[in-house]
Amino acid sequence: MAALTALGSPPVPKIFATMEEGPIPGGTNLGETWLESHGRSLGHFVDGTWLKPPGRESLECQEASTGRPLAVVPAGDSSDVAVAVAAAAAAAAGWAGLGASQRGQRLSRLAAVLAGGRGVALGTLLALAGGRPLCRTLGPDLELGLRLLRAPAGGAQLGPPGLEAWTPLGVVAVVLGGSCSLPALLWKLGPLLAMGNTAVVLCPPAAAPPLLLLAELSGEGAALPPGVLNVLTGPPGLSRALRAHPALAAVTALGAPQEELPALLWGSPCRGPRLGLPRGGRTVAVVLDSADVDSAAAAIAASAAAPPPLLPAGGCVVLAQDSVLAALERRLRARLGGLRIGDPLDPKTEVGPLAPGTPSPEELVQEAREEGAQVFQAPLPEGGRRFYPPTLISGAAPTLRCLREPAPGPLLVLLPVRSPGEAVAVASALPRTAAAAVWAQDVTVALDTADRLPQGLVWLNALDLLDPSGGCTGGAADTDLDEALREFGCPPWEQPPKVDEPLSPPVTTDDPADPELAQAVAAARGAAPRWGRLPRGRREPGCCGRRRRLWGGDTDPGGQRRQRRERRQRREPAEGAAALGGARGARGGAVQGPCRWAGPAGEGGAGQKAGVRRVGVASEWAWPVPLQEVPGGRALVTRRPLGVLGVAWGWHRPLAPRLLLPALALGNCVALVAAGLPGGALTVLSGDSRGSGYHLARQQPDGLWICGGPADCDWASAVSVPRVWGVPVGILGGPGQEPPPGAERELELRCTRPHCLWLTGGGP
Amino acid sequence: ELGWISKVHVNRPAVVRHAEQIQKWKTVKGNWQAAWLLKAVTCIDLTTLSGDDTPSNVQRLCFKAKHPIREDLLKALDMHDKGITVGAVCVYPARVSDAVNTLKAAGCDIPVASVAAGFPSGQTPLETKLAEIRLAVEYGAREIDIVISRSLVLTGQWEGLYEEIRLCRAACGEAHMKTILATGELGSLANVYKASMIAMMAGSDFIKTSTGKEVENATFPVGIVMMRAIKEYYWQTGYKVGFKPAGGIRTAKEAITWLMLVKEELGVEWLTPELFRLGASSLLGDIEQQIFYHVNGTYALQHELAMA
Repeated sequence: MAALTALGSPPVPKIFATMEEGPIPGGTNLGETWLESHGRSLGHFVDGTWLKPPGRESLECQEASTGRPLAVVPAGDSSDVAVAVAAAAAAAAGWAGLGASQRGQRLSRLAAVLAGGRGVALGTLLALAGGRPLCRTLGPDLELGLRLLRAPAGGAQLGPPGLEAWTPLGVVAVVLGGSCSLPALLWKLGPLLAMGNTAVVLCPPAAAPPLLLLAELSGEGAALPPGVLNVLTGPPGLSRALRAHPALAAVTALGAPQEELPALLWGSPCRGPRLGLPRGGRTVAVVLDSADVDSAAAAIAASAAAPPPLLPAGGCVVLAQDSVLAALERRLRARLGGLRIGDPLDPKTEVGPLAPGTPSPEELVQEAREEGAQVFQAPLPEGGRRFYPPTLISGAAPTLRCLREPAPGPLLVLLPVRSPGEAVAVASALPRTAAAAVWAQDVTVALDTADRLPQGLVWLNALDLLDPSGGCTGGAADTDLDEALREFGCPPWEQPPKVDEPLSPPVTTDDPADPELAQAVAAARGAAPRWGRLPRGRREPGCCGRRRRLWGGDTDPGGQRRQRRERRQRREPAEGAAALGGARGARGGAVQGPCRWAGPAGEGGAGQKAGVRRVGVASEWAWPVPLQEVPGGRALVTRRPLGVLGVAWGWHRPLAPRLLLPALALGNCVALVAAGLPGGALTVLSGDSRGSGYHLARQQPDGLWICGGPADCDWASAVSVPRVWGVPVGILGGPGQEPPPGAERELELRCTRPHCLWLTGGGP
Repeated sequence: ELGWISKVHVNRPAVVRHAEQIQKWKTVKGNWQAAWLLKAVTCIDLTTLSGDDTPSNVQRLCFKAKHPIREDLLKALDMHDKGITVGAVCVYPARVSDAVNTLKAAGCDIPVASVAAGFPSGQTPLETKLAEIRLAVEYGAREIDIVISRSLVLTGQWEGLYEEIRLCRAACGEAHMKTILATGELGSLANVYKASMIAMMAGSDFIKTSTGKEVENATFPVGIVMMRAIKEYYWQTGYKVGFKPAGGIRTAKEAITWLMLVKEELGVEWLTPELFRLGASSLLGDIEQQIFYHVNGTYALQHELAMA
């Protein structure tokens, strides 16, 4: 009692009258204890030990909610980078030599260390430095992070199927843009380490303490050998020095802000280290008229308070059907108004301060206000300079910035829609969205809407469920476990050493765009929804019926008649309209020049036949659809076509049906710089291969394959394309040979993206 | 207004998850905990509903109702002059006069609540139910906890349910009416929401989760759904209807979670005995223990706290 009075807690009668909740005395703060044990002066963590090079400037990391200095870290420079990369390179052979099973065990030990008390210290530091509330960093985040670490660890121990002959890349750099959640971090580091690579993580001072603690913990309990996980702290410019280091095999960016990206974006998909660009984006919540509006509002408000951990871009756009709009808005306002804003270290806090380095969304909100949108803001406690109040913008015009770009902070934008169909159209048109939620009790409408949404992860009547089981952390990061592992492995058909050489002559973005190509990509885009949504078996006649004309240029009247009949049966619009722009020209042969499917040498008769057979196989490819038991329900994981796939052909060999037909058969529309499938599904333009990658990238297809150096383009040009692949020539196998084992699966994955549908209820 | 319940949708998994999240991270400590526990005490309907109730244990219950927390503990918290008593004493109709007489003799104004209308199953003819209510009021009960006919809900006879509750309301006269929905027997959360709405439309002053005799008693998901209905009714009409979870609430921690939940879903203005009650029998003992610990730093021995 006396102690409490001394703490200045108000008398019981006063609390009895107001029913305030008061703070929770947190006991010992393990994060602070750890910082104290290091004298609040940290270093780099390299080769299993602290590296504090003399004469470096000190950078300060601050507490997110108050700005109080927490610790200092050295400002690393290029010599520190060299030391760290050398340590990682030295450890690489030993780590890779342990074998996948041993590595998996070591990662499981790391997970066990984190599951003990040490995870609490890590969670506290993440709340302290990153501002994410403790109820998240210690609760769902820690739980999910551990599952995301155990999944690749388990996969490595069992030997991931299809990756037996894959080898590690070597030293991989991970560049952090700012503070990042534990699940996002472990979802990168887990697969990276499981595949046998060693890591150099570069983080800004604001995010440094939790990362350094993780690096220190990684050596505990004989988890990771020294040098496998190295952490460097440094000013933003250091990422350029890291990227330039010749010993790096891959560089992956995690939540890097836009201004950091140019430092990483050079080199090309075919040459130089692999580059993993930050993924993720906003959430779209679709609330239909049969929705449980109360639960929807509660879940949406909770996700506004703290976005799902793998979707750091944050922000949520809510599309509500007219009939429930008013009810939803009233409830959202009530919920947002009731959120507890405050110190992230209080377990009751739901909204923490803005993460350090995040710009305030005030500008976007102000713009919305000026354009006549209604803005509701929850009251902010006093002295909350680093906080932003939970905000609801309704009646926003579609041109507003708050809809066009992801907004940080607890920001909701509410838009009315007339029907589920319109909700799908609006959700598809929103840029940079990664996940969607459909709220409806009517199961038919809910499933139909969920199926049509383009986002990689769709929840039914939920908003923040994530799980790695079965290999889909949803499409939250737009990857599943299989892809995450492949990102950090080198397939047997690829030549490991890549030379980081400048492209010559570089094609600048000032060059005039190619109008024919633009037309072709537009045609493919128009055709993509129809072609991509055809049932798998229906695509086979579409591809094979035309094989003769595709192959030799001769006509097959019977085939064409059959095609027309089939199309009538499908009630497709006749292949006319804009979608055929490029293709019709190609068939006429006057605009784009002759199509050269069958090449002069090598892949003559045998190659053609093999290719045609593959079409049949590819269009019948049906993956075993994994239905996963996950916490809170079941997840249905399927793979969807990418949409428009640009292929820049630079190889001095004929077009390979082995490569392209799976892409078509799996539902993509391909625009190729070199025809006529139904409705513009395949457009082939001939042309100078030099620079074709640039021109294609400028048209922003959904995927871009670069086949061969002459067609190469640099990363900076392709930054807006979600999936870029420098196709290794070895994946085709030699002329007349079968492709190497595992190549088909790789193609399968490259042609498609995961789509995860969470069905809540009834789960374990 | 049947339109209000025609478009009701409740997603059970979402509600259950929401309830889990609330339980996990929300708690109060120190002086706040003491104040919240005392608030819970003032909202308790101290209940005994057993076949073996006699004047003697009802009498003991009434004394406990008047002095729920030991005087010296209240003094230590500076709450001795705030008139801390429980919200009401809740008994069977046959014990109402015992309770009323005891409380009158003890000189306090705690209302006596009586269960009625065929408690706990509700499987008696309407005439009997109404007669039971009138008798209970006659014996001096100022609050009546009626049970609804679950069959009307399960067969979708919403007008019938409305009519039944309305007649009960009329029979209660001046007395407050709490409508027990027996949510464990209603089949779905959507039915709970609809029954809550009907009960409020028919004039209930409180809606109450369960009789305490069902297999499934007051659970947080059910509470959340009922509170959402109360909020919606308030938004539509401007009337504040009270909420009473009852059955299976035994620990101080659960009581605080309920208070938190009410504050979150309905707002702090619902945290008064006029709008919130906790139906419980053994809960008070645990709360007194916790307050004893808060004041003295040790738990009380059995003889140190008066039994209920």
